[in-house]
Amino acid sequence: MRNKTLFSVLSLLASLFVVSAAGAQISGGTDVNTSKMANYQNECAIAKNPTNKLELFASCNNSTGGMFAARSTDGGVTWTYPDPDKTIADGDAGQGPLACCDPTLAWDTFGNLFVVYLGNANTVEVIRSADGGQTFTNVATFGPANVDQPTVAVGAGAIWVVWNQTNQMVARGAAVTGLGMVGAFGALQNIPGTVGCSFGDLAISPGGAVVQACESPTGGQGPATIFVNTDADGLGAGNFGAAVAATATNVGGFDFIPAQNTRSIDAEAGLAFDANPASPHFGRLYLVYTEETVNESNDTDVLVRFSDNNGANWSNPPVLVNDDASGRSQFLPRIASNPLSGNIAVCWHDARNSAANNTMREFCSIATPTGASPAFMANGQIGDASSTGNGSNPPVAGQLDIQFGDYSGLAYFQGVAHPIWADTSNSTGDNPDGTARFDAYTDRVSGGTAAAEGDPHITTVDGIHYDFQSAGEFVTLRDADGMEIQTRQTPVATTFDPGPNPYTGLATCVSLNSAVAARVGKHRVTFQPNLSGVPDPSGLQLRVDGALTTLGPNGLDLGGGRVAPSPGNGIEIDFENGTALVVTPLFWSSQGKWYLNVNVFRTPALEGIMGAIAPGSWLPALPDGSSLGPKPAALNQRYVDLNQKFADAWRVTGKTSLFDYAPGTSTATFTFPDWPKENPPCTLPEGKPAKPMDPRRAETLCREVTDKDRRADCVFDVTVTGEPGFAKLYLAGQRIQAGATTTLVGIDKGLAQVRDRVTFTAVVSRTAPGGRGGAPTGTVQFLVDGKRMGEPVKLDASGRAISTAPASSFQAGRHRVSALYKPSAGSVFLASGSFEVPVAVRK
Amino acid sequence: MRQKCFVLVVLGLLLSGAGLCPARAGDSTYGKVTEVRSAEAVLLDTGETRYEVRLIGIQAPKEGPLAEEARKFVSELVLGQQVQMRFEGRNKEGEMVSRLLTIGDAANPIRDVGLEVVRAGLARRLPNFDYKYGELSKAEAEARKGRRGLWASASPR
Repeated sequence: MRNKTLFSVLSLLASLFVVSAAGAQISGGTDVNTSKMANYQNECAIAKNPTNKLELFASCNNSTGGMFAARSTDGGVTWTYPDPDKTIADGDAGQGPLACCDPTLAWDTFGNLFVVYLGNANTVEVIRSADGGQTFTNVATFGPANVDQPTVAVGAGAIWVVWNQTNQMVARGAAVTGLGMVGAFGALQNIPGTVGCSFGDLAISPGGAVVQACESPTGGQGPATIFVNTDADGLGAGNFGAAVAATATNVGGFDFIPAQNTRSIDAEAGLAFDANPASPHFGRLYLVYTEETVNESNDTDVLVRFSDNNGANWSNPPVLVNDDASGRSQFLPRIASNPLSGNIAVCWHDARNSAANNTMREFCSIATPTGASPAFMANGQIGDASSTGNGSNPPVAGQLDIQFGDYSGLAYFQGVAHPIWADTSNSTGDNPDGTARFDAYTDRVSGGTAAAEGDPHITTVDGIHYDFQSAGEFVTLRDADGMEIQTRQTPVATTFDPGPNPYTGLATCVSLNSAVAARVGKHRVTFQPNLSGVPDPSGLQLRVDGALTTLGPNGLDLGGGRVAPSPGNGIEIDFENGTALVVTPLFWSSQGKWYLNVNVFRTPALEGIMGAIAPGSWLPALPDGSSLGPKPAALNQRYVDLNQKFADAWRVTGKTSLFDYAPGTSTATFTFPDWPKENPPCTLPEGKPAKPMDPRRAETLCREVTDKDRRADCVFDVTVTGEPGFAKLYLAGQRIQAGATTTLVGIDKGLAQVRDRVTFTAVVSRTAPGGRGGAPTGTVQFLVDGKRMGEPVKLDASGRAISTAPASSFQAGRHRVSALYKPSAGSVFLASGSFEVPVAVRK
Repeated sequence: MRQKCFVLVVLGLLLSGAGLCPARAGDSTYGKVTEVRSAEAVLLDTGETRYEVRLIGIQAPKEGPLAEEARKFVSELVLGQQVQMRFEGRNKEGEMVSRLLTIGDAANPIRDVGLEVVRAGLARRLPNFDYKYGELSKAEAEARKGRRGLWASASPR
C-alpha cells in the first residue's frame, strides 16, 4: 500500500507539465499600500476599467464597519477613496446596503463597475457605479438566506452572480445594454450537482456561456473535487448543465497549513477565458487551483488546467505554475486573462522563502496562449517583503485570526497585472498598525526586459542570451494584442573570428541592427536610415504611417501608444500594453552605416526572436507556437536550426513588413538568406571588410560596462568590427537601464466644475524594473495645453509630485495635462515626459 | 497590541457600549448538530467530517441551573438540525470557532445561535469582542434591560 502510494505520488509529480522558463523576467514595481488604515483589511478584489487602463477600483473586507474601497486613476500608483472613511456599505447614504464582507468586482465595457458582497443581514448585495467607484446605486438584493462567497462576472451583454445558498451553488443573471442600463435579474437557478460545493469562481465566455466552479466537500482537509457547471446559452432559456468533475485535489475546504494555521485554505478554484479573437486558443477556459500532491504535507502547489469546450472536458496533466523546489506552500491563487492578448496571469501567496513555511510573499507568473499548453514565464517575486499570516486581529480571548482570509484579487488588462493582497510586512512604511495587522497591498506586474544589442546579441524576455546574426527583417517581439516590433539586421563583412557564442556554440559571421519598425495601436512607426540608401550621418528618420515626423519634448501621442525622444538621439515607444521600447543609434563612419541597440522593458509580449524560450527548446517558439526541440549536438544542425529554420520562420514578408521602403525596394532588398555564413571568409559583394581591433584595447574601451554578459558582448563587437562606438552604445544602454524613467500623470477629476479644485499627480518611476536604489529624484513641471502650470514641484520619496489648482484658473472647455520630469543634478536618472491626459472644465 | 486593543475597547465602550475587536467574514460549511455539549460547544457532522464547534464571542455559565438552561436553549434551536457554520478559525484545542446560523429565508428568519443565547441572557458577550456592528452588545443590553437569565438579579451571576 505504501509502495502504491509512493508510486502514485511519483507518477503525479512526473505527469505535471513543468514549463517555466529560466530567468525571472516577471517584475513588479514597488508595492503600494492601498488602504493605510488602522486595524485590518483582507480578502481583497480589484477590477480595471476595460476602456481606461489607468482606472482601477479595489475593495476588501474591513475589520470595522463596511468594506474598504479605493480607486486609482493613474494605473494603481496612487489611490483615493470614495469616502473619507475609506469605506463603502457602512451605513452612509448612497454607498450600498450595510456590508458584512466578501467583495467581488467586475467592470464592463459600458463603464459599469459592479460591486457584489455579502450584506450584513444574510443577503447578497449588488451595487453599481457609473463613475469609476465614486458613487454607487443599488441594483439588487438577493435573500435573506444562508449565503456565502458570491462572485460576479460580466461579459457578452450580461452580468451574472453566483453564490452558495443553503449549501448549494445558485446563480442569477441580467442583461446589460449600456451604462446604467441593467435589466431585471432572472429567476434564481439552482446549479445541478452542487450541494455541498462552494469556494469557487465564475467566468463568462466570449460567446456568452456562463461557467461556475466550486469545491466539494466544503469541509475537511481533502481530498476534494473541483466541479464545473456550464450554462451554455447564458441568459437564454437553458439552465446550468450537470456538474463536471474538472479535477481532484488534496486541498480540502478547511485545510490547515502553517501559513494559515488557524483559518485554513481551500483549493480556491479560479476561472478565466481567453477572450482575444486573434488568439490561437480564443475561447479557451483556464482553471487555476491549489493541490497538495502528498496529502497533509503542506507542500501545496498552484496548478492550471484548461478546457476548449466551455468546461465539458479538461486537460490532463495539469500545468504546474510555481517553479520552486522548496517543498513549501503556495496558496490562494488567482487567475486573470488579458482580453487583448489572451495571455494569462496567475498570482498567489508563496512561502518558498520561509524556513518555517509560515510567512509569504506575493508571486506571479504570466503565460502566452500560443503553444498547445500555456507556458508560464519564470515566477516573479512581487511582494517586497515577507508577510506573516497573523494580521487580522490581536489574539484576545474568544477571537481567532482569519489570517490572509480566503482569497486575494487580480486584474489583468493591457499588459499590466494588478494583484492585491493582505500584507503585514509594512514594507511601504505607512501601515498605521506597523507589522501587527494587514493593510491591502498591490503592485503593477508586467513582463520582461529584452534586448538586441551590438551585432545582434539577443536577450529574450525570459533571460536567455544568444547571438542571432541572420540578415534581413525579422519579427523581434509581438503580442497578440497587435503590438509588434520588427528589426532590420544588416550583414557586416569582417576578417576576424572572435570565437563561438557561449550559448549557441556557433562562430559565424556577424550583422547589425540597422532599423526598427513598430505597430503602435493603429499606427506604424519606423526609425530607419535615409530611404535613399545614401549614408547620412545627420540622423535616423522617424516616420509615422509613412510620414516624416519630428518630436517635441512630450513626444507624440498616437492614441494607444506614444513615441517620444530618448537620450542619445534615440526614441522611446510606449505601447498600450505597457511595453517600453528604447532605440539608441550611432553612426559608423568608416562603414557609412547606422547601428542600433534595441532595449525593451516591462513587456508582456512573448513571441518573436526576443520571445520566450519554447518548452523543451533551446530557442524561442516559432510563430505557430511549436518548438525546435533541444539544442542539437552537431554544430551544423544548430546552424541550420538557428539561421535557416528559426530565422526564416520569423522573417517578415511583403505583407507583414512594417518598414518604409524607397520606391523599387522591399523587404527582399534587405534579405540575405545565406547570411551568416557558417564559416569564414565573412565577405560581401559590396563594401570593404571592417578592420578588427586588438582585443586588449577593446577590453579597455568596454571596462566600464558593468554587466558581465554585456561587457563580453561589447569586447566581441569592438574587436570584430574595430568600431569603438559600440562601447559608447553599451555605456549609453547601461545608463538607460539604470536611469531611464517613466512619468505618468493622473487627475482626480476628469470633469471638473469651476468651483472645484483639481489635483494633479505625477508619478516618476524607473523604466527598467529591478533597478537598485530609491525612487527618482528631481522635479516635475506640470503643463496644461503645453504651457507651464505653476512652478516645478519636487518629487517626494516615492517619486510623486502633487499640484492642486482651482478649476477656475482654466478656461471652460477641454484641456490636456502632462508632466515633464527633470532629474536632480548628479543623479543617475534620465528625463522623461508623460502622456497627455484630458480634463474638462464646466462652468 | 493587546494594550492597544484594550484602549480601543474602553474607548468604544465609552462611546457606544460596543467593543471594537469585531468578528470577521466566515467561510461556510453545513452540517447536522449531533450533540450540544454546552451553550458554547456543539458537535457538527458535515457528512464527511465531524467538527467540535465553539461559538465565537460568547461565554455561558459553566455549571449550575443556568448552564443547563443555556444548553437546553441551544439544543432546542439546533440539536438534530442542519445549520450553517460560518467558520472564523481553529483554536489551540482544535475546535472550529464559528458562528452557527439556523437555516432560514425571508419567511423563516435565520437565527444566529450565539446572538440568541446572549439575547436570552444565558451567555455573556466575551470582553473585547463583538460582531461587526455591535450586535452582541445590543443583544446583551437587551437581556440586561429585560433582566433575563444572568441579568435577572441586580448582581448578575
